[in-house]
Amino acid sequence: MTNSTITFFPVGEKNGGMTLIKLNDQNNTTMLIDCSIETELIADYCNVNQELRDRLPSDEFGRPYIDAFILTHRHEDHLKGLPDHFHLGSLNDYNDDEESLKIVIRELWSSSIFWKSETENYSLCDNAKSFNKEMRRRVSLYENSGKIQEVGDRAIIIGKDPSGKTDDFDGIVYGIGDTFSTINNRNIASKLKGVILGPIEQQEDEPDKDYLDHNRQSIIIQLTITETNWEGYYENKILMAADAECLVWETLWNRYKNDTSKLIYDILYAPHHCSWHSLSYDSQSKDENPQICEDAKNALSQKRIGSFIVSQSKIISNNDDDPPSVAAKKEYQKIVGDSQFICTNEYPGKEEPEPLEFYLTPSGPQKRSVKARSKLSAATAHSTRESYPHG
Amino acid sequence: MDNEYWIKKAHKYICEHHAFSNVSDIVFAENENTISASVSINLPSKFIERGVTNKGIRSKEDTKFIFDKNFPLDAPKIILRNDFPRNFPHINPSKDEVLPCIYAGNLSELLQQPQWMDGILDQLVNWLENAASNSLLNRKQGWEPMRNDDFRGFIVYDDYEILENLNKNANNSGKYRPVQYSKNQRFIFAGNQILSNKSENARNLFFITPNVIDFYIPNPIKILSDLYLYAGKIGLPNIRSFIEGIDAKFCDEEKIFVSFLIKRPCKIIGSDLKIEFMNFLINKDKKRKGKKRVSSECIVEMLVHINDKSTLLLQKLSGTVNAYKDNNRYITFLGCGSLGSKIAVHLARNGNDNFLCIDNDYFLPHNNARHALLFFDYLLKADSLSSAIRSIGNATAIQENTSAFNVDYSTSKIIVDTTASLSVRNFLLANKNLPPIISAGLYNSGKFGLLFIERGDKSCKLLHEWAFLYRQAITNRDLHYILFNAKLENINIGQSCSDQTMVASDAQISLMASAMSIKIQEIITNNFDTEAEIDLYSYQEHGLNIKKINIPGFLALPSLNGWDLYISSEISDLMLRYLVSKRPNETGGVLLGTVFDYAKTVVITSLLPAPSDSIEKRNVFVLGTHDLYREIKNIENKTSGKVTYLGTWHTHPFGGNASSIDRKTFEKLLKDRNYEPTVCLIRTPSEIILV
Repeated sequence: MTNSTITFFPVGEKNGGMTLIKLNDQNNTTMLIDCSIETELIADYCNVNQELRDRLPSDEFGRPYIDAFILTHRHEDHLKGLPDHFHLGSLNDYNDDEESLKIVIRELWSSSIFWKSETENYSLCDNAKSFNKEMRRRVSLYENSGKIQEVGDRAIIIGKDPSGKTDDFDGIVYGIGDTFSTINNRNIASKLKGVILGPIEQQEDEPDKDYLDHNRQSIIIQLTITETNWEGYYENKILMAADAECLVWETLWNRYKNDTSKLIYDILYAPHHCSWHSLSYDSQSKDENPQICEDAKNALSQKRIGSFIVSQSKIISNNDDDPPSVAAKKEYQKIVGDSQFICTNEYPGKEEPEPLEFYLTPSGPQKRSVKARSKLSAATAHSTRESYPHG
Repeated sequence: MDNEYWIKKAHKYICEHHAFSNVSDIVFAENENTISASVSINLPSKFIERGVTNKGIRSKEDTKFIFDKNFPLDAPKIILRNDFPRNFPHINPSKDEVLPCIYAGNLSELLQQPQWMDGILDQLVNWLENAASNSLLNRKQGWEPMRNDDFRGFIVYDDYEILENLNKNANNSGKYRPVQYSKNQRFIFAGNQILSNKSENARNLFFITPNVIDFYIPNPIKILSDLYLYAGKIGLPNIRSFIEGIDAKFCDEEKIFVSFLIKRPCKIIGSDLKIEFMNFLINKDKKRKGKKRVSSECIVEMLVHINDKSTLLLQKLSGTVNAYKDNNRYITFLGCGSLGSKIAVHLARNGNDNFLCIDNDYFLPHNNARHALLFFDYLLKADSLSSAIRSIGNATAIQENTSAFNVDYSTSKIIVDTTASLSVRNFLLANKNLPPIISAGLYNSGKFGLLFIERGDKSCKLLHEWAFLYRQAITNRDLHYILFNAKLENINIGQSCSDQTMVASDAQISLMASAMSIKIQEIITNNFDTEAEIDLYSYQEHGLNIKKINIPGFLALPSLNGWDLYISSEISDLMLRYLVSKRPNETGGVLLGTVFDYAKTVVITSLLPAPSDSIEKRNVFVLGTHDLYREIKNIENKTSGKVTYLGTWHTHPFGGNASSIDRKTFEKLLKDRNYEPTVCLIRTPSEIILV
C-alpha cells in the first residue's frame, strides 16, 4: 500500500457512521470508527457490507479483521449490523464455517460508560447492549489477569469514570486530553498520533440527563497520520467529531483557543451528520433568528489549505430535516469552500453513492476518483429493479 | 472504416465518464482516429488552491486517444500533453510524446474485460492521480524497472553472476566480456552461449552505479550522446572512455552491448535484488580506416534482460519451495532409463541442484520411444542425463557410468532407485550404510506404479516395506495382481539384439513419473523428514489414482545366527491377544514372513494360530498339524514363495524363559529345515523371547 487511506461509507435513510482508516505502517493497521452496515443497498446501489469487506485484510485463518474498532457512542445508527457482521465473544468460539465470515475485532475501544446499564432515563438499543456485553467481557479478562490480553480480547477505555471505576485499569485507559500511538498493542508512533478530545467532563450546571445523552458522550479524536517520501513528510490531520454538539465544541474552543493545534484538520468529520445543533444552541424551526455559536464554529474552523469537511449523512435537502441541515452545510462551505464539502450520500452522485476514499499523501489528503461501474452490470441492475410487462 | 462503430462507442464512454470533459469529436484519418479530452484530477489538499502540484500535474490534464485499425482488439494509444513532466516512473520511453504506462499488464487485454473503455479510462485517472500525489512508485511492491516497450531484442545473462563479478571490481570502472548475438526479422538475441552458426561476436560492458539512485529519471535514449548524458546523471560519468577503448580494441565488431546496474533503494519488482539492470545496444558507425566507430550520433536501442537459466529461476517458475541444494551431497539417481530420466528431469526443472546419475547402459535409438531425452549420439545414459540436467538450470550433475554396485554412496543425500532390477534391489536391501532410499517401479504395462519411501531415520527400510507388501498381497487381490503378474517382453531392437522391457507408452510412463516426482519433491521440501510409506499408483479410465499404504512399525529382535530378525508390531500385538484369550493355557502357531537371503534378514509379517489338533495346556503347547501344510503351501503359491514358513511361536502366559523342551524343539526344527533360517518365538505378557 503506497498511501494510508481513510474511507467514509455512504449511510442509510436515517444517517449513520462508519469510517475505515487503513495505515501503511509495517502492520497495515486498520481502524474502524463505528459501524453502519445496512441490509439494503444504499440508494439501491451501493453494497456497504461488500465495500467494507473488500477493504479489510484477512488473518492467517482467512478471517477478516480490524485492529481496532472505536465506538464513538451508543446510537443505533453507529452500531448498525454489529452482531451480524462482527464476531462478539472469545475467538475460541469463532465459526469458520459461516458463509460470510464475521469480522474479528482485535481491540475494542469504548468510552467508560459501557459499565452503565439501561435505566428509565438511559435507554440502550439492542446492539448497544451487545457491544457493552462484549466490552465488559474483555475488560474483566484484563481485570482478572492484570495483563494486556491476546488479540480478540483486547480493550481500551476512553475517559476516566468519575466514580472511580477505571482506577484499576491504568494499562488500558486513556484520559481526556491524553495522546496515544498504540493500536492493538503495537506502538506505531512514527505513523500515528491521536489526541482524545472527548467526551469532555460534565460541565458545571449541566444536568445529568444532558450529560448522559449518547451524543454528549461521543468520543472525539484528532488523528495525525504522517506520510513520508524522499522529499519530505506531511502530518495529515483528521478530526473525527462523532455526534458531539454545540456545548462540547464551545467548551473545546475555550479550552484550546490559545493552542489550536489539537483542533486543526485536513479532514473534518462534520459532527452529528452535519447537524445544526453542533454549531448553534438555537433551533432552526422554533427560533426566529437562530444564531451561530461563534466559539463552537471556531472550534470547527481550524482548517488547513485544501481541507475537506465530510458529512456522513443522507442527502442534504432543502427541507426542515436536521440532521443533516442545509444551514449547517452552508456554514461548513464557508469554512472550506463549496467543492471541499462532501456529503457521503451525494458522492460522486446522489443516485449512485460510492465510498468516499482519500489517500493520505505526503502533500495532504487526496480525494480519489471513483471507478466507473461496468455498463453491462449497471444495465443488469437497472433492468432487474422493476418488472417489465409483456403483451 | 470498419471499426467506426467501436470508435463511436468509445467516444460515448469517454463522454459519459465522470472525470472526462471537453471531449472532442472523433477526428477520422486514414490510419488513426483521434479523440481529445480533458481529465479532472483530484490533487492532494496542499495543491488544490493552486490547481497544480509541485511536480507540475494540473487539476485538469489534456489527453489524446489514438485508435488504430485494430481497435478494439488493440487498445488506443494514450498521449498526454507534450510538456507533461517526464520525471515519473511508468512513462514509456519516447522522445516525442508522453506515453503514460497506465496498466501493469497489456492494455489491450484490459480492454477485453467487461468494463471495456471504462477500465482504461479509470486506469488513466488513477495513474494521473497517483502522479499528482507522487505515488506512482509503490515501494512496498518494489522499484518499477524502466519499461522497454520499444525494445530491440533480448539479452541473456545471470544477474547474480554479473553482480558477483562486478562487486569484485573495486574501482567501478566497468567490466566486459564476450557476447554472441543473432538476429531475426524482429529481434536481436544476445547471450554468452553460442546461439547459432550465424551468431556474431561483440562485447557486453557492465557498469554499476557507485551510489543508490533514489529518483526516477526519464529515459529518452536514442543516440550515444543521450546514453552518456544519462550515465552521468546516475553517477557513471566516465563510461565514454571505456566504451571508446573497447571500440578500438574490437574495431571489427559491429555492435557494443552496454548494461547498467543501477542500485535502487528497494527491491526491483519481480526480483530479489535491489539492482535494476538496464541494457542498451550501440550500433557502431561504418568502419572507416583510422576512425573510431562510436560517435555521439550512433543509434542506441534498448534490450530486455532475460535471466540466464539458473536453479533459482527454475524454482521461481515452478513455485518450488525449499529446493535441494547441497554442494557436498547428491540426489542420486540409480538408473537413468525412461522412468528415472523423467523423474530426474522434473526434479531438475524444479530447480533442485546437485545430482549424481548412475547407469552403465547406453542410450540407443530405440530409447527414443520413452526416454525423457532424445537420441543424438551413442552416449551412456548417465552421461546424457547429467548433461541434460546441467543444461536445464546450470545445476551440478555428475555421472557414474558404472554398475550400481561399484559406486561410493557416502556423498549421497538420498537414493532414487528406478532400475527395476532385482539385483540392484538386493544390493540396496543388504547395504546397511546407505542414505534413505526411494524406490520407484512400474508394473503391468505401466498401468500400476509403486513408490517405496524409507523412513528418514531408516528405522523402517525397504526390506520391511517389501516384506509387508508381500504379506498384503495374500489377501489384497489388486496387489497380488500387480506384484505377481509381471509382463516383461523381449523387444527386438536389432538383428540378434533385444531388450527385455515392459511394453508401455511414453505417455503412461510420463503420467506415473510426474506424480512420483511430485511426491519426491515434497520429501525434499520437507528436508527428507519422512515417514515410511508405499504409494500405489493406478491408471484408470479417468486418470491416475494414488493410494497411500501405511506401514506398521517393525521391532528388531536379537540376531539369529548372524541374520537380522524383525517382527511387525501388528504380529507382536496379535500374539499378545492370543495369549490373553487362552490364558491360563499356553497357545501358539506358525510364523510366516519373508527371507531376504542376500541381505541375511528375516522379517516376520504374519502368523497362523494353533491348528485344531494342537494341545494347549497350562504348561505345555503342542503344535498340531491339521491342515497346516495345505494352508502354508497355499500362501507360498500365492506369493511365489515370498511369504513362507519361518518357524513357530507359542505363549508363556505367566512369563518365563525358554524351557528345555522349547530348545529341543527348535533344534529339531532347524535340523528338519536343513538349517534354513528358522525362528522360534515365545510371547510373554511383556516381551518376545527368542528360543
